[in-house]
Amino acid sequence: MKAVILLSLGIDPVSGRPAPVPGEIRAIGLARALGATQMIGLHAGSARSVLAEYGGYGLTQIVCLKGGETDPVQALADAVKGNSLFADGAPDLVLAASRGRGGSDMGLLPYQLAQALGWPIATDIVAPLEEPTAVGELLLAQSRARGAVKPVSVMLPCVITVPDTARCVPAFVFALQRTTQMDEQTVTVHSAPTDEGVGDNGMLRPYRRRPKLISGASKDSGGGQLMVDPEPHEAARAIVTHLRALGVLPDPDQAPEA
Amino acid sequence: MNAIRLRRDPRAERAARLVPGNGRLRYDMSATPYERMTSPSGRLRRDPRAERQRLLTTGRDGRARLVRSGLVGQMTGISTASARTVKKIRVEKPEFFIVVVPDLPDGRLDRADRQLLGAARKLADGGEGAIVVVGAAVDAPSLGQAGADRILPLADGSDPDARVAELVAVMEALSPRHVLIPESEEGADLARRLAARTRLGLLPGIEVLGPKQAIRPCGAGRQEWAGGLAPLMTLAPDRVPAWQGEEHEILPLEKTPVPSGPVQARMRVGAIRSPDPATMNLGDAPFVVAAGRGVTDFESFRATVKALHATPGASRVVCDNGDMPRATQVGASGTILDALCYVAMGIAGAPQHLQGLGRVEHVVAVNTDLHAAMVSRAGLAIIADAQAVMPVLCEILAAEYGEKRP
Ligand SMILES: Cc1cc2nc3c(=O)[nH]c(=O)nc-3n(C[C@H](O)[C@H](O)[C@H](O)COP(=O)(O)OP(=O)(O)OC[C@H]3O[C@@H](n4cnc5c(N)ncnc54)[C@H](O)[C@@H]3O)c2cc1C
Repeated sequence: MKAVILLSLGIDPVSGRPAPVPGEIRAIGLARALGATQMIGLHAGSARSVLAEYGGYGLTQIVCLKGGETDPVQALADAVKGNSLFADGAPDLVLAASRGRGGSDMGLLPYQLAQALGWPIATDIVAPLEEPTAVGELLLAQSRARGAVKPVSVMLPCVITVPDTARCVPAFVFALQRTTQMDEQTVTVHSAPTDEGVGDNGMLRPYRRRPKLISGASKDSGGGQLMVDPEPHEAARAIVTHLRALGVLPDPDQAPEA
Repeated sequence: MNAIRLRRDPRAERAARLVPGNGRLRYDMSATPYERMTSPSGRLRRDPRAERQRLLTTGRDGRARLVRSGLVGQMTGISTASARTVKKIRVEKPEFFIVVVPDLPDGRLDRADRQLLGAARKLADGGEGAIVVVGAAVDAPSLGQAGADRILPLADGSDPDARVAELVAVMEALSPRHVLIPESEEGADLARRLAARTRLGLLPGIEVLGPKQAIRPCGAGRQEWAGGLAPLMTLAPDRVPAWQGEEHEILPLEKTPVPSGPVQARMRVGAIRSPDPATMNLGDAPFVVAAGRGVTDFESFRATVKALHATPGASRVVCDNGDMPRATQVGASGTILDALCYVAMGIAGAPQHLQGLGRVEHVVAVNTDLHAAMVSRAGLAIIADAQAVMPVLCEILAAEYGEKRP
């Protein structure tokens, strides 16, 4: 399988210096776990030295589309469809981070790219699922809150996004970073009409932390029910009742979850 | 005036109050012994209590009221009529629509959904707007209280692209001014699919929303973008308060969308699978039961964790002693929990351990020390020996769930 991994210029949230985006590092690991034999990193924009850091995680070939930053979706779609990346045909997978880190951080680009390519998009994928599937389909685990997953089966070729919480982090090897090959291609894109509605009417300024609304649950954190020296039976009963009221224990007559 | 004064006969009065029956003698002291009470001088006596009772009605706002004009019947009629008509806000001829697509987990509005409707009300009340809730069927009263004006039921499919196609049909029929979606797992995905499909502007993860301005973080959370509203917006949780005002009345929708044709299924999303609590990652676990140095009987502890269907945790001392694996350590140098509920068995609650309870909402503590820090953090604290409580807890759970649970 041939995979393209979309790379962006991320920044470190604490220092503000250029740094690889965690989701993109994990995308490299996921592509490996999915059995990709060839991988190419693709970046819409001119080559930067920070991109070579992805090479340390195993992505030793990176293509930068100089001039593509004016309309990245179009530039990336042209490159993926153009069959110029791999010697033997078009890629099967495009992997990206669920959210960027350092730009507008909307997470919209993979969706737009999937729309432009006409491919399906599977989002928040953390791992492949080891179950039999039809030929030409992938069965993937989509991460959900509290460690739950949803099985997603998607037809190839497809776009996959990987969240920062995925555990498929490849090891960093400095020697690989040094051997990373970065090619710069100059592309011209016919600037497509931008999205309606969101213009340049906004302004950027330093982030101001605002208080969140207080969640209803936090009111019980101070001073609760207290039982001093109860009978063990009484104490156990109280625990069961309390846990049931919180909803972490199902009612006995209810069918238990798997 | 009558010269002969009638004398009271207390015995006869008492006898008249006797309640018939066998066994002990009982007297009903509140009953009037005669038809009419006469004073010793023979004059009729007033019964102020009965008079008051006759004048008493319930007023408009439910408070007791005395009506002396003789219009008692009419007054009560008015009060009951006014009590029944609860004022609901009707938005009859809206100038524009705002479409809200709540998540509706388990078919009910959750916290984020209510906040979303609160935000939508802010935008709708800037003009004469109506809020259309698009989603699976939910009972109308709860939606009305949350501030919705119209409901449009939507089929629930396993293909996100089919859902997007349905929403596109809704948007074509209503041409809403804004579409609001929560920035939750499902909502975030849906909003971006919709934005890519319709090529409308999207503002995701809005933290401040006003009628004219929205603010959202960007640049790795170091910057924020402030500007005008977009056609598609998603709202970060706990940022905009839910609607607190009068209930809105749900009216039928003026236009119905033309159902879209079937979409080519390229993707299927299956039912959610919850992980096995015994082996799952401690940081993700929703329910953790942890042992501290107050636990000596680890066989019993493991059985309790299994019976509660929870994920095991431990304090550092326990891990250092080798009684529990290092991976189960909770705290500053272990795992920071994201659990809903935490049960601490014999844990003192050292600051380094409590750091691990960052986002835990509910704590249950079993400890022999009333003054332990964990006890003051707990919603339910039991001052008892953990070794005595754990086996009984296992017994109760085994008796109630029987063999149904592993
Ligand atoms: C740099 C640093 C990092 C640390 N990081 C961590 C960390 O990540 N996680 C962590 O847990 N600790 C950490 N610690 C250790 C921490 O300071 C405490 O020493 C530790 O949490 C205490 O564990 P404990 O509550 O189990 O034991 P104790 O403090 O000994 O408390 C035992 C408790 O059990 C109660 N008890 C005794 N007998 C019974 C009984 N029969 N039934 C019921 N209750 C009973 C006692 O009343 C007492 O409250 C760290 C310390 C340092 C210095």
